[in-house]
Amino acid sequence: MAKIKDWRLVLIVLAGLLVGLELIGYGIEIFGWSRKPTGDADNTAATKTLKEFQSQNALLTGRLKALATRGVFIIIDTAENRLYVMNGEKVQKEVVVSCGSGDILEETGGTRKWIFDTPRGEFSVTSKLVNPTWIKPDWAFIEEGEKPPANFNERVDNDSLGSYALGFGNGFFIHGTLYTRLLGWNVTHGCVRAGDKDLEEVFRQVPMGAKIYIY
Amino acid sequence: MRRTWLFLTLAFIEGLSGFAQERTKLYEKNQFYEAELSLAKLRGTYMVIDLEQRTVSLKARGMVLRKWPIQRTRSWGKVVPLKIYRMEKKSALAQPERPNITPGREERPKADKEKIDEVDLGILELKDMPVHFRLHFGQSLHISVKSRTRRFWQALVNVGKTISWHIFLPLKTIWFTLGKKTFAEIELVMPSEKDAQGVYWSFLDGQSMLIFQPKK
Repeated sequence: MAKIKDWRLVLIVLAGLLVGLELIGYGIEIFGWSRKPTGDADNTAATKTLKEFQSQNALLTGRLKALATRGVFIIIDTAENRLYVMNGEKVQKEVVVSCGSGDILEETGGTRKWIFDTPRGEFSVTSKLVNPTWIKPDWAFIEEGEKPPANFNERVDNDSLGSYALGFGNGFFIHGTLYTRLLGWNVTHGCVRAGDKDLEEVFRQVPMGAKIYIY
Repeated sequence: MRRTWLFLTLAFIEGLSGFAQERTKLYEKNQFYEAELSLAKLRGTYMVIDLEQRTVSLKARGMVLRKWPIQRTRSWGKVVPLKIYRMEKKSALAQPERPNITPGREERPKADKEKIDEVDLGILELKDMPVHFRLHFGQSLHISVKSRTRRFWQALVNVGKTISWHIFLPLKTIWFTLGKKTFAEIELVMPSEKDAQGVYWSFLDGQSMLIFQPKK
């Protein structure tokens, strides 16, 4: 019986200590230095009138809006495997695509390594190709367990990229695919695959130099 | 008569206080916009965490590319100074691992006829991302992101994190106050697992981030 009472006492003291600790922490936050931001915002704020702040606010939001991309551009969501053709703030077309798998390929006995990610950030359409030809890079052979050929002709593939391709730098393309069942999945080597019909529309709507935002 | 004067005086003081608050709020917002302008002029994407509006936004050129709602937020430590932060790293108890391709092995179905739902594609997807993780922005700012989850281990981590929030962080506050050092720990609770995973997916190492935390 005495033991149970002792344990109860220990628990009460412990709970009291924890609550006390948290109260001290909150006390420091509320009354101490820790929630004071750096800089003297209040002093600077006091020197201007409300109207001045309002006009500055309108000016700044206007400047931000002016930076937005105008005309037709592309947004690609690599997590959801979606491509959006935008015209200003309006979504002109939504396409189910396939983006990079994130897989790693290491050359057996070699030093080379590839990470199959779709690059993220801001890009531009640098080329528009009809019936594109894929010049297969070394990794395409290594992945199949083959040795990369010395003969250039063995690298030429006229079928895999579909009917259209939009290049956005460093060998990356938005292109067609033979594997339409895999659209909507992260299965590519970094390029963005789309169905031929959708891609044809994207190809027609998006001009050379249009911005591409990938996240 | 006295009552009327008292009422008028109180109303005047209240009005002045509201006016000053409005001015400070606008001042803070303008400072934030100026910082965002410097980021929006640059090529590339950046993140904006708005603790007032409770949103995390991925932006480029001032445009919102993707926005996630925050269900609730809480913080310990100093109000985060308004400046551009760069994310140093993400950490999670179970970090997603990139699958390795075995050369020569058929990794995934290549023909349309195959049923892909029944095949392990061996790929890194949104659903593989953690629902509980920390974003590190140097020594002084850490952001924890979590969501309600049905996954056992993640739920256990959430319980651990709650205990840490009420014991470790008050201790850290006291310790840092005594050492005259600064730190800020912010917790973002996302409404769904997918939102938390989306934030993990989109936050890249080295990515620029702005945080808007109005003074309380």
